[in-house]
Amino acid sequence: MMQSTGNSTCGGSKVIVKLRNKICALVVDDNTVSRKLLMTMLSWAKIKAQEVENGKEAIDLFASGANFHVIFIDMDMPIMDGPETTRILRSMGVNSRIVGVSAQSKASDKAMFIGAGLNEFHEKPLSRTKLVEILHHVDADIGIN
Amino acid sequence: MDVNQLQRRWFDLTASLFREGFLDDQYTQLQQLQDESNPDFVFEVVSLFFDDSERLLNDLATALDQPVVDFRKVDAHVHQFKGSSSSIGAQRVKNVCIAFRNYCEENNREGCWRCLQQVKHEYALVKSKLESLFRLEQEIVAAGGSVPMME
Repeated sequence: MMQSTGNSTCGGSKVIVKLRNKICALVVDDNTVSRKLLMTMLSWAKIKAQEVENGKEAIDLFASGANFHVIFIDMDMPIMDGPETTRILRSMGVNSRIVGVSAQSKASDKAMFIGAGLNEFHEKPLSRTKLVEILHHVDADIGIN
Repeated sequence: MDVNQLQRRWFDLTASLFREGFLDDQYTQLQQLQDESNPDFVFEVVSLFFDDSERLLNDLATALDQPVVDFRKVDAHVHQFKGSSSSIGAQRVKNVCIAFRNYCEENNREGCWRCLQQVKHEYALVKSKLESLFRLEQEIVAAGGSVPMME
């Protein structure tokens, strides 16, 4: 059964979300503007999402039994940054799709973040087209796992 | 002024903001996320940007005013500023942040100080222009019209 659809015009072309599964997302970012933007984009795509301000809060959520199909995580955050959080989540056996989203554009930083266990990295801000592409990947992963 | 005139003024002001590089396509993305279920989204996210920017500008001035400047701390504030300005499409602010980070990397106090003055200037300009745009949108709605969309 089709769980989630969203249609909107973007730059003259349609951005369409058609998902077979109900996806839960977690947004981990200390930047209030970026968080609000991503949460609104997820809401537009009819995705149930939760937000936290740093990596430690994300780890605590998983440790308490919460689970998410996809995690959008910033790189530089106070208390616990994106790469450390990603490493810990992977060591805990978390196999969610982890998407690094950062204003950080240095190739060495990106490579280090990806090496920590990301599935993919994108520079901030995420476009809706890119978000939809990620959600479709997550949807396909759910079908496989 | 009637609705049509207000809407024309809105188009002219918005077009000038894009033409002069104050805003980029990301701002259009914000407008496209605004709908009946989320009617004040652009105003809300831009207001968050204003709050965030004012805090960051204060933090930057304090950090650069120390006898020994911690450039990593300065860079962390500029990185935040770059993230929030790019999230709303404040292109000229974002561009100064990129140059600012290069000076942080070089531990160049004078360059950082110049960039702080520039980023303050660019922020004040885009803030004033966006506030004018929001006032115009309120006038359009008060006159019974609807806020147009940029293609």
